[in-house]
Amino acid sequence: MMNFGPSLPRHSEVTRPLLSVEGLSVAFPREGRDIQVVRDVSLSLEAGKVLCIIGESGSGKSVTLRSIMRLLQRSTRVEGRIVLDGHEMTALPERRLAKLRGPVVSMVFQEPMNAFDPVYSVGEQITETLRHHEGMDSKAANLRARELLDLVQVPRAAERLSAYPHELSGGLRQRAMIALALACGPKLLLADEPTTALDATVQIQVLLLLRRLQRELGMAMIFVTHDLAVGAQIADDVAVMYAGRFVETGSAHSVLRNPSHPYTKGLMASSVGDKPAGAMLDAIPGQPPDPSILLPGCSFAPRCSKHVDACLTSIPRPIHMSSNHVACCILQD
Amino acid sequence: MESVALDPRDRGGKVQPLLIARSLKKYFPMGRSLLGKRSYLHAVDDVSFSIGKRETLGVVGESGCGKSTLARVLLDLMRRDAGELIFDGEAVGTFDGISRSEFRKSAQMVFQDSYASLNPRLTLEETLTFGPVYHGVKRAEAVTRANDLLHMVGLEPRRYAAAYPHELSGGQRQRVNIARALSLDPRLVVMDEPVSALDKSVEAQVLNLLIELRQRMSLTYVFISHDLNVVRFLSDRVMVMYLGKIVEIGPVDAVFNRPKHPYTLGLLASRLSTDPDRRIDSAPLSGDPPSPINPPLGCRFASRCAFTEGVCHVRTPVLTQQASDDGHSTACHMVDIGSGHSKAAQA
Repeated sequence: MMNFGPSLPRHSEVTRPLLSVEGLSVAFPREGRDIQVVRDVSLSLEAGKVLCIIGESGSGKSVTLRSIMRLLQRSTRVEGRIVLDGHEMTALPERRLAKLRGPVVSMVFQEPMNAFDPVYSVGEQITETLRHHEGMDSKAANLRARELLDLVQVPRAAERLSAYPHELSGGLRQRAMIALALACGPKLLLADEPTTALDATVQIQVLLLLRRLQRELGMAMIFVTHDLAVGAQIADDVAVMYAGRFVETGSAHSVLRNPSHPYTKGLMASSVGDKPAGAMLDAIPGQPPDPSILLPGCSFAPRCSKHVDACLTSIPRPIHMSSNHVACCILQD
Repeated sequence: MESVALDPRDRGGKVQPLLIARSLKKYFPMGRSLLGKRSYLHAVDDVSFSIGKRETLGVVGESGCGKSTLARVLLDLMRRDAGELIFDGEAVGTFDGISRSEFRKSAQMVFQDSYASLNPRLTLEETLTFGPVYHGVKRAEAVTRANDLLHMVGLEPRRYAAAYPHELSGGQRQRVNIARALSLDPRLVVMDEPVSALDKSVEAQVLNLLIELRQRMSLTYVFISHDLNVVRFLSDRVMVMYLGKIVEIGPVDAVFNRPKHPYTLGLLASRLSTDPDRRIDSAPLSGDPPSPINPPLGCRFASRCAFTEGVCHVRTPVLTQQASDDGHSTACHMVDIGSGHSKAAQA
């Protein structure tokens, strides 16, 4: 099958991507049948690039992210290939996987309060990771933990190491979690809505921090968000996800300035942005589909004002809008 | 604004604000220090403003600024520690004013969490008739009205009247919450982040509904949100809060186009664009909002402000009307003539 990874190699020399995902499908068994939450997702990501997966709740964006790091329950049915830094992630035994989590891939979550253990200080949790993965002694680990907090711009880092998670403000907690995720110098950072719970003035600080660290450390990042504007701020490439599928992928510039899929267009049109006050918004009618009910054709068709009969019966194939922009819509075919 | 038929409930007349809040205070006791001194969280600290009839007042601010507490104090869902509320010229909950029960019929609330704010054991029809029946409306009449309301918020009554909240999506549940708030035919609706939990594609539908209902039912809104774009879109006037105090208030155009308070400037500059060519390269404000427990003397924004001077740590700035005379006021020493701040005009 054709690969419509968001970051097709743009240079003449074809390098092996850091991450390649092919035909990923994820289903949760529920009451004797499968609920398909990710359907045939493919992507490839070069080292040092930022991919943003944009989608609404239930679109499968977080599940896609978690399946890369294999953080899903055992009962979950995962199909397809995930190759990360030469490792076949879907086939790896648990013990070898544990060795990759940290130095190769790590994750930042939306709610740092839930990701940290409330009964240990932030410093203890960072040094534990360093001792375990990097084999450091406690003195070296302490020193490194402090450097890490400095790196993520936590003021008075030495003091903050002994703070418990609840003693930090939301913004500092998220910085501390980023420090923890960076402790082993991962090649790929997975970020699941890390700024959604933060206030606007703090959100931009954390986005700028992530972008700066990603550049300085040469780290690749997959950033999941429901907010187009967050994607516009941070991404090299974006993938718009709807009902388990990538419906539009490409460079952030191309997709967000010239959206081609009716869903992406609809999201743009329905956002308040700088529309005149009190005017009616072009809302997308209806609501995202129930993942337990599989439609044979394009999942967006029932909400799409431009749909034709064929949309309801056949799954639209990826159409190249330009060399780095793909939309899955019959209307573009 | 177009001319409107006179509302029979309008007792105070056209120019009488629908709601006046005067020096509202709400402190939460937090615990004691070693010396036995009690500390307080200053959630709402001496807040005064008014809302005109059929006006929408947007309230913006970051978490901990007291906007949700303000909503609850405004509707008397939470006892205020000080201050008074005047509804259409009558003081709320006083002997010679309007009774609390009467006030609550006229002022309703929509909460952020659409699921937690509905009773899971009541069908939508039961939810929508509960309030009216309590307030003395005949059941049959309440049922008819409930069906009308469901229709009005875009939920087909034949399909949804007997449904339970868990059968609905988030957007649909928020429509029910809006319908419930309207079931007593209120004049004022206070909404605390009503669209923040919704997906973007659904958010636009609910915003459209709010605009339509405002027109149709001559409603006055207090719209609380952290999303500045949504507030600008929906409001006539906007109020910016920081750590329990109003730092700036005025007509939407004035506050958004000519912000005077450094915090408002920072908030506005933190808005992200969907255009990848308009990225922000440096954070407009550094740090997090400080804790609202025992806030510092002087200006509460001083610790994050780029223009802080000595006076900012000593004196609390008061809300001062701008020369423009359009009701645009700012609480900052820099706009206060003679405050002693080097950027302020000297008296």
